[in-house]
Amino acid sequence: MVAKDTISSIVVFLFSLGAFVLAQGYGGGAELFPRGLAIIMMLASAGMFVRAIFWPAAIPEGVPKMERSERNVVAFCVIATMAYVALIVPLGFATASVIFIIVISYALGMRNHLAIWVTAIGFVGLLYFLFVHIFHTPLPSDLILGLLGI
Amino acid sequence: MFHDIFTALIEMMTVGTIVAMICGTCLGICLGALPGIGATLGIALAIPFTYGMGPLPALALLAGIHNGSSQGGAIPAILLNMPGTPGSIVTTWDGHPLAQQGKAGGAINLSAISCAVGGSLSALSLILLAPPLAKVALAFGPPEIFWVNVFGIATVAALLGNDLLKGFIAACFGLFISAIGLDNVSGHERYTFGMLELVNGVATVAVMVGMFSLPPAWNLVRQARKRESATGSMGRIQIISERIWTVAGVWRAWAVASFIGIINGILPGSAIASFIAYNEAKRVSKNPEKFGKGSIEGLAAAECVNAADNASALIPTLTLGVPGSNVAALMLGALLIQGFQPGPQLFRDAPEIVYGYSWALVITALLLIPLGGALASRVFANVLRIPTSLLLPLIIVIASAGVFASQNSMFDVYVAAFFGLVGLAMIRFDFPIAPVIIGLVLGAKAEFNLRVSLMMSAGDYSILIFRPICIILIILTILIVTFPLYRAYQDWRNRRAKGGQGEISAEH
Repeated sequence: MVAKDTISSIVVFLFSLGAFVLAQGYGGGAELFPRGLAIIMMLASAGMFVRAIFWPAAIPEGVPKMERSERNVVAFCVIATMAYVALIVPLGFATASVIFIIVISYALGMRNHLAIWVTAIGFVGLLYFLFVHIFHTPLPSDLILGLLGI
Repeated sequence: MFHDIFTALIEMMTVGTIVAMICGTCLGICLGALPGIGATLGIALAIPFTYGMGPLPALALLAGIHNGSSQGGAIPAILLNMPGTPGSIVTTWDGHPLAQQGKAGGAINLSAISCAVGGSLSALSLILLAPPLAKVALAFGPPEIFWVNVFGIATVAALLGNDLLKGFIAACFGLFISAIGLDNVSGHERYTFGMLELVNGVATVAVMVGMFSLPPAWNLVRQARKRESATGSMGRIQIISERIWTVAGVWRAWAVASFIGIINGILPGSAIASFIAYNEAKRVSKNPEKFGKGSIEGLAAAECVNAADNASALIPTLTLGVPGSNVAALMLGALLIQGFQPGPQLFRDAPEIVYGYSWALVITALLLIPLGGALASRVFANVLRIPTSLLLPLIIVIASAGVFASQNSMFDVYVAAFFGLVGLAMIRFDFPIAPVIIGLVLGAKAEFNLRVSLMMSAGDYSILIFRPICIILIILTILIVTFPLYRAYQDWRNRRAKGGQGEISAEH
C-alpha cells in the first residue's frame, strides 16, 4: 500500500507539474483553470506522499493484490485488446472482431468450437447489420467483406 | 407543471419509445444478471448506440437498462448466492435460502415486484421533488452555478471513494481532460500537442466507455472460474413460480426500504442503503427471527431499496446538473450527447424531455413485474450460462463499435483504449473512477461560469464569495470535504481504543 501510494503520488506530481508548465504559454485567461487544477493536484499528491512516508497507517485499505496467474491473464487480455484496436483499420471491423473473439475464447480455455465460431460470426454479423443497415452508421471498411463484395 | 407532466406522458406513448423501454428493460435484466457487469457498464455500452435515436427513445432505453439491471442482479443472488450487482449482496441473505427451500421462482417474482414498487415510487419522487428544486436553481447566476459544480465534484470526490486525496486527484484529472481543446472564452488551444483531433476536446463518450467498460471487462477473467463453477450447479435448481408472499406481509418492508432508498439517492455517496434498509425492515418486522433464513420481508426490503435510489439519484443531476453516482454521471453525459444541458433550464426549455424521462423510469419500473418475474426466472436466467471467455471479447467488440459509430472516428476508439488503460491503472492504484467522469462532464461548465463571473466583476474574486447562496454552497462544500476527515479521525480513535483494550486484556 505504501509503495503504491508513493509511486502514484510521484507520477501525479510530475503530471501536474508538466500541466502547470505547459499552461504558462496560454493567454487570455485560458491558463487560469488548468494552472489552478495543477496546483490542487500537486498539493494533493504531496499530501499523499507525506502520508505514505510518515503516516502509512492512515492509508485506507485498497483493492486486494492480484495473484500472479490472474495478473498474467489480465495482462494478456489487455495486450490482446490493444492488438485488436490496432488491427481494426488494416483488417476492418468485422474481420478483426471475429479473429479477436475466437482468439480470446480459445486462449481463456473455452473448447466448444461450434459455440465459439457461431457466436463470433453471428454476433459480429448482427452488430454489422445493426450499425450499417439500421443505424445507417458506417463501420471501418472490411478486408474480407470487401473481397466478397459485401 | 402538471400540464407538462401529462403532455410528456402522451409523448412517451409512441411505438419507438415503448419498444425502447421493453428492449432496455430486458437488456438491463440480462446485464444485471451477469456478475461484474451491471447498470454502469450497461449504460456506458449503450450510450454510443443512442446517437442515431431520438431523445425520448434514447432516454427510454437507458431508463430501461437502469431499472432492469437493478432487478437482474437478484437472479444470480437468489439462484447462485452470487450477487450480480453490489446492491444485491443483501439479497443473497434471504434470496438464496428461499431458493434452497425450492422457492426460487417465487423469490425472483417477489424481487421483481419489490423492484417495481421501489423504482416507481422513486420515479414519482423525481417527478414531484425535482421541479420545485429546479425553480429555486433558476435564480442562480454564474458564481452560484460555479459553486454548485464545485459542490457536486467535491461530493463525489469525497464520498464515492474511501480516500479523500485520491478522490480529489481523480476529479482534478477529469477536469483536466475537459480543459483539452479550444478554450471556449479566449479561443486558445490547450494541451492539443498539435493534434487536430484534439482541437474539439476529448470525446466524452470515448472516455466514459473506455474507463467504465474496459477495466471491468478485463477484470471479468479474474472471477471467471468462480462464476463458471457456480453456474454449473444451476441445472439442479428447480425454478417454480409459486406465490410466496402477500402485500400485507411485505408492505412495511417496502415502505421502509423505499423511503431509505429515495433519501439515499438524493444524498449521494452512501453505498450502504441496502444494509440500512435491511436492518430497519428487520426492526419493524413482526418476524425478525426469520431474517437471514429465507425471510420474505428481508428479500422485499433488499430489492426494493436497490431500485428506490435509481430515479431519486437523478434529482440533483436533472435540477442542478450535479450527478451523485456513476449512473447519474453517465446519464448526464447521455443528455449532453442528445444536445441537452442538464440543470434548472432543462425544466423550462425542454420539459417534455425531463418529464418524459421520468415517466420512462416509472414505466420501466412497472415493466419489471411481467419481464422481471416469471420471464426472468425462465429465460433471462440463462444468460448466466454464457462463459466469461466469450463474454469478455463481446463486451470489448460492442464498446469499440459503439465508440467508433458515435462520431465515425477511429481516433475515439484509440482514446477509449487509452482511457481503458488509465482506468485499469487507477483501479490498481486505488483511485476512484467516478470522479474523473464527473470532472469531465462538469469541467467545461464550471470553468465557463468561473470565467464569466470574473468578467462580470472585472477580475474581482470576491464575487465568488460574498453572495448569500455562494456562502451556503461554500459551507456545504467544506462540510462535505471535512466529513471523511472526521470519519477517518473517529476510525483512528476507535482503532487506538481497541488496541489499548487489547493490550490491557493481554496483560491480564
